[in-house]
Amino acid sequence: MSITRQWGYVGPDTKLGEIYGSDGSYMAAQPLGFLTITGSWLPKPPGHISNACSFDFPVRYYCIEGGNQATIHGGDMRILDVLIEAAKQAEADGCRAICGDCGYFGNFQAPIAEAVNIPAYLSSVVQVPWVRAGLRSDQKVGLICADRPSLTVNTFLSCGMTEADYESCIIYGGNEYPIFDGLRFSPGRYDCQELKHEILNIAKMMMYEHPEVGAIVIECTDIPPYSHAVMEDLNIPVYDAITFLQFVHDAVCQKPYYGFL
Amino acid sequence: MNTDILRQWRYYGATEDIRSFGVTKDQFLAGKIIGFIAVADALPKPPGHVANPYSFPFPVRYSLAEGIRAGETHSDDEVIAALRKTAVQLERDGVRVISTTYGPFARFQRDVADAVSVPVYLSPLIQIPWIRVCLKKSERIAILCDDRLRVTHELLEACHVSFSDFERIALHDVWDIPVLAKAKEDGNRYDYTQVQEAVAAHAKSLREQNPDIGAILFECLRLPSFARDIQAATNLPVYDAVTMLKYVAKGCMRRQFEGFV
Repeated sequence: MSITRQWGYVGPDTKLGEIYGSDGSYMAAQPLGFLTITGSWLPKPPGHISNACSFDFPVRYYCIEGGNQATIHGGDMRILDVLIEAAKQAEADGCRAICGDCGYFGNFQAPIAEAVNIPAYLSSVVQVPWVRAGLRSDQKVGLICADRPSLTVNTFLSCGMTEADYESCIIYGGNEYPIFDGLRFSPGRYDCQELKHEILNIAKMMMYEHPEVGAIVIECTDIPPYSHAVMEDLNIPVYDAITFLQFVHDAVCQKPYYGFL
Repeated sequence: MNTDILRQWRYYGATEDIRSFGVTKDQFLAGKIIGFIAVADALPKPPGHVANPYSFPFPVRYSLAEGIRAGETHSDDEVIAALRKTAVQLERDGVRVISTTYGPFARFQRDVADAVSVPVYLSPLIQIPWIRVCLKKSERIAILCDDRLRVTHELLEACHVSFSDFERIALHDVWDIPVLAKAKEDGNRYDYTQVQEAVAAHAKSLREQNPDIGAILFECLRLPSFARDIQAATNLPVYDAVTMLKYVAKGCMRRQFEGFV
């Protein structure tokens, strides 16, 4: 099967010439392809990465057999072949970048990036140095994650970051908060307001204990629905999987600019 | 540090009654997201150029670096003082991110970042590690520069690019392209369509000659206007000042998500 890329934008000013299809393709123009956790039963409100309404462009989701929270959080390399197969399928389907629907997909960042010819951006955690670059030298990035013990220096290294990047951030997990921690056990439902309060408590506690935090990065893809509340409360920048993938989208889907001179 | 600045970053929706709120003393405008430190030059600034506000889907503000002129010689201390003064004023004006419309200011990334409490991003080169993470180890980033010689190790370090990333980039001057060389000679004019075709053809031949290019980054702030042309000619991810600044700004203007479940 040969993959033919046509990344040009078609707009009102475009005079299309010859166009062609990829052998075996049955759909077009879904810029981001997501590898998704399947063995978990969780609601996906707008703002969750697996809710297509979170984006203003089309996305496609790929079901990963055996991709449950234990194997993804723990970076179990036995599922790597399945992940790579899905990533290659996404590339063949015309996706322009491979992404993950859980921050811990970062455990597989390097081998998946090697396996495909399109960009692989698997974890929101890779934003830590991006956000760090804009801050004062005496400020730090605050990282909020679901499962603190699973987010190790090795996760950072797998994501192409360094030990210094790991040391440069303050990390708080959701392990001690009943709703946030309960997400691990596939509850099928939860109260969004209660989860929001837990997230705000984590963020406020972090700012109280570490006033040097100048911006926040959120690892967990269940949390972006509440990112706006964290920003409103702390008045500092908040980055998460959605800001991350909007950036990736902009790079692989460059559009013409319109306006005045 | 500007400790008397009152930050209120929350978004006000259409159905919401705004309650009474305070404002930083002497703040005479509001709602600008990015503040650009600018210098005057006579070159055209079509949509896509960061000095054209139509390049962004949110309001931006431009402030001249007092006493600094393009092409004139100034001491580093003089430039740093002017940049810091402008940045501090932009922060007082309520902007949430500080950048620049003038490429050579990138050297002073850290000097400016340390002077204010909002994020500072003075060069698209800061994206080098953000791009490297998604590529294969064998792939490189082609950087299209305003002036290749200006991209020194010192500049890259100021932009938080680590030593190990230096070998992942390949620098190319855009002013070598005949149409652009002529534009530089003519000073304040160029034929838009000619430049469009020339940069696309140039990028296409770059890709053909260097099959290890995995992504393209524009250091030059004039090129984003032609990003869609270069992307259509190469089918590669294209990163530039606009992708960087839209990403950074997004973290500072979080709103509640809307959509279906």
